[in-house]
Amino acid sequence: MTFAINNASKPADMDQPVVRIRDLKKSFGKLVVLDGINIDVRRGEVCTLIGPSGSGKTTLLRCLNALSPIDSGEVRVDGKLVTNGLPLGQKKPSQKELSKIRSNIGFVFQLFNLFPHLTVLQNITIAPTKVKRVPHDKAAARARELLELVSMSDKADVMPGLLSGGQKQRVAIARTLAMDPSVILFDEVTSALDPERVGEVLDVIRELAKRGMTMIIVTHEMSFAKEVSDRVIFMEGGKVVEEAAPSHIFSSKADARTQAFLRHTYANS
Amino acid sequence: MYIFNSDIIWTAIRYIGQGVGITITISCLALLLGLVIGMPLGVLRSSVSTGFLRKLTDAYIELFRNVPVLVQIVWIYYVLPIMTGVNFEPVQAAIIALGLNTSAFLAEIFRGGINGVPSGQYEASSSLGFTHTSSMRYIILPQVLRKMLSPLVNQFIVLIKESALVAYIGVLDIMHRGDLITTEFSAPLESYTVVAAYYFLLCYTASKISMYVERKYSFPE
Repeated sequence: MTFAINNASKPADMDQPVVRIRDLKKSFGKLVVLDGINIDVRRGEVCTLIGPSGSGKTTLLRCLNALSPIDSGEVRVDGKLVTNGLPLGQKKPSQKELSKIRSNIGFVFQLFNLFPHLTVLQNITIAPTKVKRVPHDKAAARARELLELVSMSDKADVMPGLLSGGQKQRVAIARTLAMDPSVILFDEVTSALDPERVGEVLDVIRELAKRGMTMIIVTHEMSFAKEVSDRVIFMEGGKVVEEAAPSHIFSSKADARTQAFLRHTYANS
Repeated sequence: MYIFNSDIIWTAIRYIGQGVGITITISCLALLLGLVIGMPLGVLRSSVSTGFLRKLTDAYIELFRNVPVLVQIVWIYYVLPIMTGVNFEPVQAAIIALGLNTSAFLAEIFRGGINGVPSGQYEASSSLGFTHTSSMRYIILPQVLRKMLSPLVNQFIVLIKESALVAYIGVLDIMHRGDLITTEFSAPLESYTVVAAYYFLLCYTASKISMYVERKYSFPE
């Protein structure tokens, strides 16, 4: 297949992080959700975020594509400032600027959020044709390649309401890929799936990892995190407790808090 | 026992039938006017919660929802010309009054429809790079319109029935023609039964068409 992840053709600035987060802070009222986060993600790297519920993982992802405004600090993707306007000195971007920034950052949601009034193929072509003004034929050809990648070629003309959860999520991933983002953020994308459907979605993410896609993945699937990640980041109480290769995180050398969390997770699984 | 006078019935069917066209025209144009005004008002009410424009919209909707339609028709036909010097033909006044009144109800239907779209749809379209305006155009409103078909047709049926009130300002619609037949032949039973039958047929047909369209454009959730 001729399909290629857009990342592979990006300039060879491998040393520059694709995602650069500096001293990111975010509160909801008095509740501090993110407390000074610093993370760099390099091109082609797969980073998983793990941690207990309420540790700020999802909020962090939402801040990375400005779905949630941040209180202070800085987020850059491909060197460009991602902001929804709040931090000191940063002016609120126009709708067009924000749209351009977001179209470069893919987001795959826990509940898929496919557009129910459009067919599977139209779900994938609508953003390239309407946002990036790609000609319809070209967008449709690319969408069919992506459907092949996620093994959904036979469902191109089906309405999303008729798909299973796993199939919806695979389409959602294809829809995100169609915009050729620099990075894709996965927010607990298997949490809403029946257990027997989890594997098919994880397979797609594995395939993307092989092809060099830069990804930040929030997950509760520890064995998957261990297998697919270049780096695992353990968060607790809005802070990064530890970040390291999976071989370190899932070993007895990991921070005591990480080990306690993993013991608890495995005990419940 | 009173016996139907079949001669009068046939006369009534023919004469009153000539008013069907004007009833349909007034109802359709009023619906169109209602949509053109009601849609932006509904979008505004669903996305803006403060400010002058929002207050103005709220006032407009409350005004037209809380004054009887007949009073609005009479007001636009008799009072507006006194204030502005612009005279309307009865049909024009009828379309304007019914259109403005309908727009207030449609604005609320639109607002409800837009608010009923899950927030995930906005987030997904934002994350793909759609601006608020393009997201409304390509993602949100197409869903709202499909879901609105049923309340929209209900509103149209209400409109057809309310259009009978325009007889009051002399429009030769179904109702007014019924009045004239009644007076001419002193035959209210024949005349108003035919009037009722015409309105029933119009509204019943509208509801049947809507059920077909709704089935055709619905999507599985």
